Amino acid sequence: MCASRPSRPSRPIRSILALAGAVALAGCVFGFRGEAEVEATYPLTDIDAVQIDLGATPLTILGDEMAVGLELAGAWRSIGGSSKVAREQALGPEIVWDTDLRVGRLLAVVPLKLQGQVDFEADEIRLPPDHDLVLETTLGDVYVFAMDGNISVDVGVGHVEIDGGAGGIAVRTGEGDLEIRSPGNLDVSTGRGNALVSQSGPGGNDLVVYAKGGSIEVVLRSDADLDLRLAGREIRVHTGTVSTVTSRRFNREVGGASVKVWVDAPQGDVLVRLVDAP
Amino acid sequence: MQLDLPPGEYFIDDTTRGGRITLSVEPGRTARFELTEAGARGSAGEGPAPVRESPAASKPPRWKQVVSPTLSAVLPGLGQMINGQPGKGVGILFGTVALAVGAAVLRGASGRTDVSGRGLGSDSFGTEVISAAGYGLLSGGLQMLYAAQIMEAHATAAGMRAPQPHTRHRVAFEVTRMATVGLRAGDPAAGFFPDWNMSVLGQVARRLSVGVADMSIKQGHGFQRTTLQGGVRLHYRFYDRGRVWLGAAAGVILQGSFGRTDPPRLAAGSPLPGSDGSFAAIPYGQLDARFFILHRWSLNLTPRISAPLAGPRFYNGSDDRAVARNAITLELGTGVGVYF
Repeated sequence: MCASRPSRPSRPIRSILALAGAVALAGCVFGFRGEAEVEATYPLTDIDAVQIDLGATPLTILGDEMAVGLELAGAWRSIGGSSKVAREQALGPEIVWDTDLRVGRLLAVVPLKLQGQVDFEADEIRLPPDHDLVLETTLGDVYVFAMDGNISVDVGVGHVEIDGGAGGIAVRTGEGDLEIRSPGNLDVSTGRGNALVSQSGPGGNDLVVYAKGGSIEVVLRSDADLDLRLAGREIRVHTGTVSTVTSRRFNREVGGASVKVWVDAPQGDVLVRLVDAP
Repeated sequence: MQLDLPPGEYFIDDTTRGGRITLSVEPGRTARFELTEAGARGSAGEGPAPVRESPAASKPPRWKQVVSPTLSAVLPGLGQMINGQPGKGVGILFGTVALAVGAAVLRGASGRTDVSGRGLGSDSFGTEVISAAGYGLLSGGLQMLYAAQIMEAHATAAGMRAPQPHTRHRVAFEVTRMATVGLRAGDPAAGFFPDWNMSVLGQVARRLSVGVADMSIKQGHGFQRTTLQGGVRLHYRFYDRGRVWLGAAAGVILQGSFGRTDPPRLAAGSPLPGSDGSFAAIPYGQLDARFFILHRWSLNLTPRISAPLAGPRFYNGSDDRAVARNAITLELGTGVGVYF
C-alpha cells in the first residue's frame, strides 16, 4: 500500500536537461570547404557530337571558332572534417573524356567514398560551333550560345537559355523557365515555368512548345504558312494574317500550313506575335 | 498514524486486495482511513462516507483501448474525440496540421530554381541552415506529437492516470530519427541530414543496458549506392523517478557502403563498371531523456555527439547526404521506445 505524489527532477537533473537541450538546438556538423580548379582541353578530331554530363551543375556552353577542342574550366568543391581532408577530397574525383566513333562524352566521375562530399561546378565550356550537343544536368541552369549544330538539353531543375541551334533544338526541364532563340526546329517543354520562344533568321521553322505550369510567348519572324494549334487559359494571336483573343483552344491554318506552331500551356496563357509587333 | 496534509484530493491504493480509496480533505476538517478485515474504508470529516469505486463502473469500455489509438493513428486527435475530449482532439489535429504545413514550407524554402544558378554555394548558406534546422525541429516535433497522441489516446481510454515505467524490463526496442544540419559541397550549401534506425538493448544489470543499435539500410544516389549500418551501445540510466528517465550512452556505429559508380563507357566492348565501397566507424556519446505516457512506451529525446572515422557517414535521402570523415557532428534524436 502506498501513497504517491508526482516527483519533479532535482536541480542537477534540470541542469542536465537544459544542457542537452542546448546541445540539441546546436545540432550541426563542423566542417571545412575545399576547392580544386580544373582547366582542360579535349580533342574533337573526328567528333561530331558531344555529350556533357557533369552532375548537378549549371552549364554555360559557348560556340567559339577559335577553340582548338572542347575547352573546360571549372572547379571541384568539397567538404571535409578538416581543411586538409577537404583539400584531399577536392582532388579525389575526376573528369573523364570518353569517345566512340564520332561521339565524345564528358563525364564527372565521383568515387563512392566521396559521394555527397564533392561537387563539380563548370564555369564555362567552349568548343567549335559546328558540333551537336547533348547536355544533361539534374540541377543547374543551362546557357548555350552560338552553337550551330543540333542541341539536346535535359534538365531536372534549372532555367534554359539558348541562342543558336540551327540544326534543331530539343529541351526538357522539370522546373525552370525557357528562353530560346533559334532558326532551327524546336521541341521544348517545361514542367513548371514560363517559355519564351523566338524564331531567328528568316523564320519558317517549326515550334512545338509545352509549358505544363506556366505561360508561353512565341515570337515569329514570318506569318506565312502557319499551322497554329494553340491551347491555354487565354490565347492571344497577333500576326499579319491572324488576330484573335480567345481562350482554351485555337486552331488555324494559314497558306500551306507547313510551319508548325503547336503550343500548349494548360495552366497558363499563350501569346503568339510577330517579331515587330508589341 | 496521523498525517497533516493540506486540503486536496488524495488516493490510497490497497495493493493487497486491490482497489483505491479517494479521500477529499477540506479546510478545517479531518479525513480518516481504516483498514479492517472486511476491507478498507475511508471517511472525510462530516461529509458523506467515500464510496469504494466499483471496478465495473470506473473502468472505461475495453473497445476504446483499441479503437481510440487506432483512430488517432489514422487522424491525429480523433481518438481523443472518441474518448470524450473533443477540445483536446481538435487541438491535437490543428497542432499536427500546423507542424506539417510549417515543415513542408521550410522544406521547399530553399531549393529548386533558387539554387540552380552558379556561385550560390556560400552566399545562401545562412538561410539554408535556418531552413534545414527549422525543418528538423518542426518535423521532429510532428513525429513526437503523432506518437504521443496515439499513446495518450490509449492511456485515457484505459483510465491510466500515471504510468509506472518498467524499470526492471529485460529488453528495450527503439526507433529513432537522428538528425543534424550538415554542409553540402554543392547547392544548396547546407541540408537536413536524417538517419532513421532501430536499436535493441538488453538490461543486463539494474540500470545498465547493452545491445545492438543504430541498425538501418540506406539507399542513395538514385539507388546506385546501398549502405548497411549497425553498431553496439552501452547505456546507463541514472535517473528513473516517475514517468521520466534520464540516461547516458556510448557506442560505435559501423557503416559499410557499396555500389557501382563508374559509368559505362561509350566504346563497344568496354569493360563493365567495377564495384566500389566505403567503410566508416562512428564513435559517439549521447544523453537521453525518456518520457513515459504508457507503462511500456516512452517518447525519447537524444542529443548526441559523434565523428565518422576512416570514411564518410551516409544519411537517408535520395540525394547525396554525407558527413565527411573526421567531421564532429552534433545530432538530435527523436523517437519511441518500448520495454518488455
